[in-house]
Amino acid sequence: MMKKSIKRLLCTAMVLMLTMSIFAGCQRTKEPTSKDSNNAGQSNNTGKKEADAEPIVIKMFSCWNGSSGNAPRDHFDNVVANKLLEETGVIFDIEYATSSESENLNMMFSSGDIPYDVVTAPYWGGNGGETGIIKRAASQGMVMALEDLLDKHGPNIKRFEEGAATDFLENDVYAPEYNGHTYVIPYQLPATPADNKNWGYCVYVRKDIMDALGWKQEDFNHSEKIYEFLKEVKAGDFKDANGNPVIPAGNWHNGWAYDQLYRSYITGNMCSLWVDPDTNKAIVDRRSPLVMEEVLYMRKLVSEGLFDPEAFRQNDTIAKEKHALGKYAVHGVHYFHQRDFYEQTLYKDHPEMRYVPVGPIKNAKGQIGASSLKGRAGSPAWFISADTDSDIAEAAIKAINYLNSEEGRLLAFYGIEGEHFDMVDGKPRMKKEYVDMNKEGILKSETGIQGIYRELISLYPYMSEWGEFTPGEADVPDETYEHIINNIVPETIIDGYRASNFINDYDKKDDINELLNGELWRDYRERAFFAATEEDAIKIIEEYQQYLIKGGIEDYEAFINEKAAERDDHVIF
Amino acid sequence: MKTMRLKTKKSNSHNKKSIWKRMRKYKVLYLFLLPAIVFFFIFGYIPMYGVTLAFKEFRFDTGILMSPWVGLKYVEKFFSYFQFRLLIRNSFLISFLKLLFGFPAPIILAIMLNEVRAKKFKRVFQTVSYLPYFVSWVVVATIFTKFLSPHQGLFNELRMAMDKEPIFFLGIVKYFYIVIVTSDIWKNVGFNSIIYLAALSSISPMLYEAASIDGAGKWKKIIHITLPSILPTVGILFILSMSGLLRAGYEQIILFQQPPTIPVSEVLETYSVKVGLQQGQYSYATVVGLFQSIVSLILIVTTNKIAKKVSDTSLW
Repeated sequence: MMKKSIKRLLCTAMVLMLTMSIFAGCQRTKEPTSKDSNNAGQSNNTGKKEADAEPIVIKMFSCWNGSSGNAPRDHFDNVVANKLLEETGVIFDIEYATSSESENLNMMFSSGDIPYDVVTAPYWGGNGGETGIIKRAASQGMVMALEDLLDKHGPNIKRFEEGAATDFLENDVYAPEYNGHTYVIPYQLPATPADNKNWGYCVYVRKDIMDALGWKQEDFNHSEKIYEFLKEVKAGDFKDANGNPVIPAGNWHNGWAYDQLYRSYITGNMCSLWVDPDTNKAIVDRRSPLVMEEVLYMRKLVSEGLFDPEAFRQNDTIAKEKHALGKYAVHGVHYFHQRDFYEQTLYKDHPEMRYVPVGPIKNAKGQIGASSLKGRAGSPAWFISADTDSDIAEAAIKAINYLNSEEGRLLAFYGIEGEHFDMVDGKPRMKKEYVDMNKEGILKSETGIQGIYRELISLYPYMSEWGEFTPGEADVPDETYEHIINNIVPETIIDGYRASNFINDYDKKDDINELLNGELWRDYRERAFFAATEEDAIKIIEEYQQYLIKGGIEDYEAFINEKAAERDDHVIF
Repeated sequence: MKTMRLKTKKSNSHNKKSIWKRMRKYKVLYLFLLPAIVFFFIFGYIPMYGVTLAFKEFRFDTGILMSPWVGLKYVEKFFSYFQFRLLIRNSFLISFLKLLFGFPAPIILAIMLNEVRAKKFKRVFQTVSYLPYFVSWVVVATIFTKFLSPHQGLFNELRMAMDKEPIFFLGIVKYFYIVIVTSDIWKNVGFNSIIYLAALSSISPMLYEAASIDGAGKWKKIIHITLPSILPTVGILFILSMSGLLRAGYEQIILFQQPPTIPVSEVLETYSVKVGLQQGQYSYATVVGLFQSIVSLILIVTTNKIAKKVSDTSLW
């Protein structure tokens, strides 16, 4: 009897344990960010020291795939975090996205319970991609309206308007669907037009191969010249760092940025529109005659074995493996990315395999360089989730406002005066030791300087206040970069209203956004690169163009042209 | 007639009583079912309310329950999508190929292993064959991509050694199908063979001994003893696998997808992931998922019915 009772008891206990284990993990724990409101009230914005108060931890999410490369090794103990804590009583506990930004945003908002207080994310304007998701979430009450907090505690933050383009402010930052509220704060904006950063997007060629073939940088003045060069590379017996054959051309992860190779077939327009020179009417550039030239050019490279067929969808790891070996003779990308990567990999053992920028390559209009809008037209942004505790939100605004002060900006970009940099003729000059650390890529992880905290700063006064884009650059000018921005891709600042913004007044806005889905277009275009014949490639593009027509693109184009004719100011296509 | 009905009623109520009696008698054993019931109720049945999303306009702030109804808006959108037929065709074709080659593979492996007499070798081989199942598709795809790469990929190195031009295997449709099926078999064959090995272990050795006395060789034993003995297991697993005939496996497909193979590799699942997770059209993605589930249900019910008619094997 006793034995039976024990057996029963054991069985019941086991069932209970099994049942309870189902609920394990369902327990809702209080987030560490939800600090006692009494503490939050103690922070201020006047520089009063807060070291004695219990720190207020702000949960932040950097919604940028791979942004962990900007992370300090310790979020709670680094140069920037310690000073920020001292000044504002706040510490940012930061997480980083490791997959698609859109997916992260969608999942975060749809869960209905955003586990972060502050989120930074892409916000390039318009109604698609990440911007569309954030706009939808903000207008559906998932993002906190910040205007009152900014009025009270964010005078420095509010200066973001100085660096944003007029139409970006009108259509995206103060989007009509926001009904007068301020939900997103853009960052990374140029403080003045002089601070507008030219990223130096162009074609880069391995110099030893170029020299061996007797080419000069300026010889690459048309996409067809690149084609000729690639044929010579294929015929030559060039090797990578491992002694294996080089691939004539390729790119970085997911095909980034092979569009530099066919620059001769792009319009240089800013709104993905093509203007017919005969009628002066705009159509979507995917329907322009230039798109066929572009596709046939890339098909030629792929079919003749001049472009790495894997490069269109290769992942970051595989792409970097190839670049670290100097496997591509030619690729397109922006200056800083390739410079920093090669300095830490290929150039260490093979300085002779240095990549040099070539060009200038004229676009379809015969222009060199690129146009930029006055102020930044589309920028990353940060926002605060709607269910963030009001005291936490207030503390976050105060801390971000500090980071946007003159002292805060210097802290995030240069560190602490006397320790990491000195003021020379009113400009910060980072000490050599830290400049070297920055070159080696360890400054951000070791100190937090030049790292993640920049994602909370709106205006970047690179040239206007600091006289350099990168620490140390003013003392030792980067001649290659100077050459790029002066001769290869000089940027012209223009002012006006971008025609792409007219979509906001179009009654079938959502349908058109869906119709112009970039991924579908990319699939079609890249399929055409692999077509067996030129005729097949043209057929693939025509099939896509028919899809656009059936979806009502012609009516939309007519609407764009009507609206452009109505405006008095300068409309940019 | 009346008496008979009364009798049946009586017998039914008697059965019910006896069931309750039995349950009371073995209540501790029945209690063991509780975690499973709770589990399926919470994780299997409650989430089913999410299906209503297919007929609603999803809002972030209201969630699924309070989002406004939109009727068949997204169903119509899906059926009128210009690549609808392509998605169905690709989903069926890839799943069918996987079933055609992937279904018999673990049976063959299990039979082969069953014939191995060296116990140590058998165990090692068995363990090694399970391992790929635990490797993520990302790793599998990377391994295959490396082997098949036109630049220093193993297969192309061999081709070049024979003075042949390298081939971009993953970018050619016919090779794409081969890669998808073989990588799927490589990953799952070992793990899927476990159930057949279990079925094989239950066959009485006396049958084989008797067959040996009658002069049957290995092949005859396999045909006349091994295969018929595991046939019920094969049948059940075949019926179950029919439910997956529209599920081509999005993770594998997305990872192997290359521009030239998009027309043959875009399947319902990849489309659902793209419109749902990437574009945030949850209602639309739910319609795609719901469509798959309904087709799967029809397939499994039909196959079960056919199997019941033509053999003794059926799920219910």
